[in-house]
Amino acid sequence: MLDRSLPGIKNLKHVVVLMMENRSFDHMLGALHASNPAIDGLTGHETNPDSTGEPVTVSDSAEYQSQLDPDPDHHFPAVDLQIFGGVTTALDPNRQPNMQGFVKSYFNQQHNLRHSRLILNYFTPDKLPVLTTLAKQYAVFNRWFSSIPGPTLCNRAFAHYGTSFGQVSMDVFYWNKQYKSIYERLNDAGHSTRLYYFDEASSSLEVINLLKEQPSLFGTFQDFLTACARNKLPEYTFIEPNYTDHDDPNGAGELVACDQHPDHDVRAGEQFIATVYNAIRNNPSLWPNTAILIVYDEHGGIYDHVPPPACLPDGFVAQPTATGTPDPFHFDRLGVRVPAVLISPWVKAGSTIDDVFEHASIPATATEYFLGQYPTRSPREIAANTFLQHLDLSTMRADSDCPKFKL
Amino acid sequence: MDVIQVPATPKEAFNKHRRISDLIKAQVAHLKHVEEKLPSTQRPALPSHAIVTENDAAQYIAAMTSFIRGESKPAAKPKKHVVAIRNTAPIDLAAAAEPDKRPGRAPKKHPKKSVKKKMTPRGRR
Repeated sequence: MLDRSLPGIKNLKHVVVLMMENRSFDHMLGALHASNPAIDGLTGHETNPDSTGEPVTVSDSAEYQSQLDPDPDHHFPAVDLQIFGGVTTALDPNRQPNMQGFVKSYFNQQHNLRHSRLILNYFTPDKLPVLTTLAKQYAVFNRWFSSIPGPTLCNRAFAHYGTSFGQVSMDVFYWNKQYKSIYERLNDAGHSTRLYYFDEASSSLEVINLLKEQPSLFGTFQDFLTACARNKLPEYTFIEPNYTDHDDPNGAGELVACDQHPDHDVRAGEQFIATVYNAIRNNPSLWPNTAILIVYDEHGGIYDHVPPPACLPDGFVAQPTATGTPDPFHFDRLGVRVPAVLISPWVKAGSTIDDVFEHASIPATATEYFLGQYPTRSPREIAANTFLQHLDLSTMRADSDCPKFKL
Repeated sequence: MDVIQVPATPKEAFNKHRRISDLIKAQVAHLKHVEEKLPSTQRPALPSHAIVTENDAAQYIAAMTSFIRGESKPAAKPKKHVVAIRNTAPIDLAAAAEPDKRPGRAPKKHPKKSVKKKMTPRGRR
């Protein structure tokens, strides 16, 4: 239960969620363990066997672009291999996740032994000054997992609905969905909410269920920046990055993808994150009363060392025809861990949060804060931890104590 | 606390001819599904080009998104200042010499051919 007597909660008016694409926790933040052992990152000694059985050690030589091409497989069967190391339920009905199948999985795509080892690469903090600064200066979630050991769309569905309605793939059509999206819930209760996509050419990944049915919920990234500048930021905001390199439809030149999905340049995502942060950080009317969550939708097939835990079943079952494995999936295990950072001047610098979170925690948090009791939600969302209680400082941090970025 | 400088994205990071990922394929498939439900009188106004590259997809997605949102809101007007993640690093000579990457370059008459030519390993996504 959220303690509403906390000064940070008393001041809170806006929750902003920025969901990036396809990078694992260790890949982006794992190196921070060296400077802050409370961050559950890498020691530098973690290994995975390659396809010959030789152990490969993680390496701090991740590059911004060109290393993860082809796009590492992150569909359900590949993630099953990555998590369980190739141990199937036929081999061991009681198998446990060991995170030993990442190199093998990447090898399957090109049969290139040398290239397959790149999946264990991680960034040094100096290469990601924005994300790592925010992680160091605010709160890092040590246990934020993707909701499903699978690809983007079903995972993003958990951020919008608290469930994927039984989907484990990219074929997301939620006919007869029984749970409302967080946007519908908030709208129905008279709260303001928007889902901002980058531009019309990038659009939203919630095409069928939200964009088509409720286009008024949407805005562009320019609209988000304008809303911030005019102090018209909705109470709940969800931001999608640019998913493609494309010419600006309005003729303003080239727009580079900023989602950080391999093989897009990670630096563009750093700039995008900084732009979102600056729009709030530099507005004294917004900064004291806004909480920002930066989170990634799934790991993108890239190595992480923490085994995903079991979780409450979602009430749905994906059959083997859908999972692409010999077994059905009961939505009773989370996906691979992803980077997640909570930002607010009411969050203590250098904090770590060790409770388990997943994307159902996003609508769960917004529902708890803005609506209170709301029983018609998925079992996973009802069970999900919420995160606003980590705005727990008794006094707001001084302006000079909070980082600023220059673009 | 010092202000932290964010590194620019280099010009050569931009590759609109990159083949679309599974994610963009799914996004396009969903929009195609929407398109198929439209009355036949409306469909001719929508783009029908082959979607191979990210720019192909972006053109189609832009048209469909504007169409969908146009039902309740007019399409966005051109903006004077599009705040976006843009290539701000200087153009090096090699990049400038690459004709397909120059901003403002008129579209080629046979985009499919040029796409094929440019399919480096990086393009096979």
